[in-house]
Amino acid sequence: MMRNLSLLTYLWLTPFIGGLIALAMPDRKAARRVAILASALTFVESLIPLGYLEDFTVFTQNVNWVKALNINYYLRIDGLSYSLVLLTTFLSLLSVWASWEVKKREQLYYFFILFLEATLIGVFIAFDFVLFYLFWEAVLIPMYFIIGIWGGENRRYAANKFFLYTLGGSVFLLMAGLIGYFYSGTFSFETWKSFLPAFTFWLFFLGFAIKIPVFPFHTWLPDAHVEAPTPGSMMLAGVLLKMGVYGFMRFLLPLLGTTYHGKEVFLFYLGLAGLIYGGIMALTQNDIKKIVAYTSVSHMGVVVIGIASLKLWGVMGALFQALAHGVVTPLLFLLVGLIYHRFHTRDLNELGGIASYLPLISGALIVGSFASLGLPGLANFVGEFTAFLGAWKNFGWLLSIGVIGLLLDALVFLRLIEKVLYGERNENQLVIADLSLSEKLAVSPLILMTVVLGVFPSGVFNLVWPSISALIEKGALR
Amino acid sequence: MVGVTAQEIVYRTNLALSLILLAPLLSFLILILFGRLIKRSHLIALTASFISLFSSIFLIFAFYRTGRYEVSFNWLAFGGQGLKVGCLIDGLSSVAAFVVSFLVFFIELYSVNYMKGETRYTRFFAYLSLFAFSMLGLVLSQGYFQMYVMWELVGFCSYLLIGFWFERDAAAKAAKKAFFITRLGDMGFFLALLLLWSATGTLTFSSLFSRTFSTAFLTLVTILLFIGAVGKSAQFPLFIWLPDAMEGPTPVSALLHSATMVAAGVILVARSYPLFSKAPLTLSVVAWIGAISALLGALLAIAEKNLKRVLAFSTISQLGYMMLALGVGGLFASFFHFFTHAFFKALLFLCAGSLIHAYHAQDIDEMSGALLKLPYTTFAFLAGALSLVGLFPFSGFWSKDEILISVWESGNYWLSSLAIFTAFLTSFYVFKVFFRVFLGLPKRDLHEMPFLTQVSQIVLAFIAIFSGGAFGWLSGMMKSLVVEKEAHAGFLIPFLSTLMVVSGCFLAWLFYRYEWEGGFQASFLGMALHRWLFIEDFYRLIFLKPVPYLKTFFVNLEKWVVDGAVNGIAGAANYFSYNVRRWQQGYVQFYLGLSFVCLIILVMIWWLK
Repeated sequence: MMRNLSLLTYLWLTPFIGGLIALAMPDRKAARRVAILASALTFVESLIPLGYLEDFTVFTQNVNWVKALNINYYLRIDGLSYSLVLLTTFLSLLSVWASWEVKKREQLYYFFILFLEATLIGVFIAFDFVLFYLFWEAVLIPMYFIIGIWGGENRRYAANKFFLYTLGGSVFLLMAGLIGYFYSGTFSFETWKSFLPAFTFWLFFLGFAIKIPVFPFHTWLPDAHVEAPTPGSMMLAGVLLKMGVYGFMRFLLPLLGTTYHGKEVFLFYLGLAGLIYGGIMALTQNDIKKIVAYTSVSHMGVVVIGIASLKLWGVMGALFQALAHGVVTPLLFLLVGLIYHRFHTRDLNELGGIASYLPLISGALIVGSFASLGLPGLANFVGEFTAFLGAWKNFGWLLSIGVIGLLLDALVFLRLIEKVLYGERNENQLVIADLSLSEKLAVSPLILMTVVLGVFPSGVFNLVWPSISALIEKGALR
Repeated sequence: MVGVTAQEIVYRTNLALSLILLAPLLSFLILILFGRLIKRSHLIALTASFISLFSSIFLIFAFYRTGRYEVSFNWLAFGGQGLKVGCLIDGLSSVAAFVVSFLVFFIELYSVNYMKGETRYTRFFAYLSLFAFSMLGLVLSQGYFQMYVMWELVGFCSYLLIGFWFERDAAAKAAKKAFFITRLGDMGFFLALLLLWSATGTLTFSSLFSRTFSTAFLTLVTILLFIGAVGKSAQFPLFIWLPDAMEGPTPVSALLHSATMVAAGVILVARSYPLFSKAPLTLSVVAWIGAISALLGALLAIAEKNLKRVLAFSTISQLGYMMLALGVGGLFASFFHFFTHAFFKALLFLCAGSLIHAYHAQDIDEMSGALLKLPYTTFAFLAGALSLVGLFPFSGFWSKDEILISVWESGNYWLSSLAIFTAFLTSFYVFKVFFRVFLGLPKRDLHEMPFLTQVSQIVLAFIAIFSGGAFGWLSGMMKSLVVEKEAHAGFLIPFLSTLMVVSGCFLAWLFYRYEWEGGFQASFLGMALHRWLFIEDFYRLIFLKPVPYLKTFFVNLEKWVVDGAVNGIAGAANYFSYNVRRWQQGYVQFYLGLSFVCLIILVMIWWLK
């Protein structure tokens, strides 16, 4: 067992050390190579637990860290954590791979993106609040610089807004954590129970809601996405938003049945509002990156609705929707990046007619768009459908308002396809190449995952549902 | 299959079921992934659809032998509940699967020549294969979940195929419109699923239909299901997408937008009949929507000049007939009409394709004199047209007769008159088109399409003529699903309907002979019909007019309220810190003075206390 004992430590240390090595590399190509190697190695490491599906406890690592304050270096995985770790390592590898457009200070860039991966993994595997919070906050640093250095024109504003807004949320999270500690004498947050005062809900809520983001705390997201470089957007949409989802499930879910009883209705309304509002805002935009960013708000609305249902099917649907969004939205951002790279514009009205001569990009964009609007057979549908099935029992007819959001999402992507892909070919455009080999290597794993998750979702469900069920029942029992 | 054990039959049935679905799916995957390497992509698609066709025939025999057969497995199951997928074979599904795979095969055969030279030839067959898979999955499904999945997938195929020539703006717009309007209806279907699931925890037909529900619940569920059917089957008020869908290639119109996909709504209602039949309110809604659609489609077809769009309106009208029959309890009549209509309407579209190919135009005014130059097409079109108007002894006569009789026997004479009047209109617009296109002198040299297209046309023409004879066979197949009714009496209905056909034909002749067409088109009635009785204008006014205002509202809401609050807080913090910062100016005198003032205040507070 000693062999496995420290896998989780390796898991976050590998990209971190890989990043440091990349930083020390003398030339750019070597930095890229090191980064690809490190993230690939991390991905392979993250596959190891698949061999231990019966019992993840072999990976648990709990070492006393600061004795006086009872802070532990406590790493662990369960189905929920593990699914998100897999998503992180998978997407990080692809993001590193897709970083071909980065042309300045590459060593530093690869350091930051690997640093980001390390901290994200840390968030999902840390089970001691102090450790969790350290990782949680550390995520902001690399993301801030990725947006701020390698971003678009208005990157300063976007990076500052992203940093300050989400930091603002984290302060409340810290307060909640300290209260938890003073009430229980331990930072091991799994033991925090109904003795927490009810108002801590609002602290946790603010901490996580900004990250997800839940309507109306979403306005940092479109700005950050528009300015972030493509790999940054992929990580941001794919994994960073899932930190909030994870927080909701890990911290709020067990208490919503008891101490926070009744607050789920509040969550439901916000989710519903986000689902519809995100769709409306996406319809009003002309920048395709912003459109995709706003549909994230809409999809996160479904996630929040699913969590608020407090039913196994609803919460599982929410998690699956989060994972599906973590595959499909990065795919869309990647494609938007590829289109921007070729045409130097992201304006719907300036693009058009791409489908007639770039069949691969167009095909991929159609798959991504239809996945995103919830076509069966592709990933998002499963999450959406299951979340709605679960949530209907709690909220009944109120939920039927949600179908407006689904319709709006459909409209958003139909409009996107029509304007970007369809229509006459613009004769002014020179001959532009379709996907290159290295671009294909980035796009195809995402498409493959979109289809696999959509057609064979039961693997993920079997992996995760016991841990979710435990979280829900924890609330139901007390 | 004599002398084969029951176990063997089950094994073979499962094999046939896998083949019928997997063959087209595999064909789709091969063509979409390796299409560039394949020259004769139609061979792969045709092989797949032939396997499907063969398997579907096997399934019919298997149904004879073993009766109702169901196979399913859990697609997603956890926490004690599961979503199942699988197949159900009974009279309805095996016949529908046969119709679908038969038409897929012959329309693909037709497309080999029709689509020749297209840049996206391979992709066309890939999409058709995907459609074949989804449509067969839809008719064979054993529960609402799979049906919904396939329902959406056929919608997606329809989107891709309508927009096949997406360089044309009209095609791109039509594809979007079709997908969105049908999805609007699908949301009803979706809500019905949620309701059924939350009430029972299952979505399979067999376990749902054996339960008892309250009438209110059933009415709600069936209305929601019917909304889905209205969207898919282009019934009033959601019919507006179907005429525009004619922007797709003609084989697509023949396969998806007349024979199979749009009939999915009818199949949904027919499949859910155990629920619908216990909800009388829904049934009358179904009947009325069907009757209105039948009448409306026929009316709008009169003023239409585009050949394909005439046929599209006619499809709306005929689907209306099927819905009407379902609404008055004529499940068999409706399914029978689905059966005959699928063949003769697909045939008419194929003929329309041949005509368009010959004239290089879609407008009826551009066509004339096809009778002499295009003998095969004339024969085929005539067979289809006579079937459509329901002339004895063509297939449409028998199925329409069944429908009219069911409506008559329901005792609702309003519906009966509507249905019979629609028969008159049908005859009128069909013959109007026929005289216009086929009589007279050809304006240019016309050519028939190559051999393969003729094969499809002729085969379908014979089926259109004779498939009325399937009456006995079909009623045998449907025996377990349909409640036996009293044998109908009298020749009143056949007499009336024939009278309608003849008088419609006569009026059309007068129109042609005395050239009333121009005057009709110029009249207010003609204009109103041409603008779809202002229905779409009304929708535009209600739904599209307010969009710019809403957009402005929401953009400002986001900018000034939602984000404004954030920037406002940031700004306030900035402002506040700026002012506080000014106190830190570094003058000792100021600090001392401030301390002194504060001290005085504190002393005064202490003193006053």
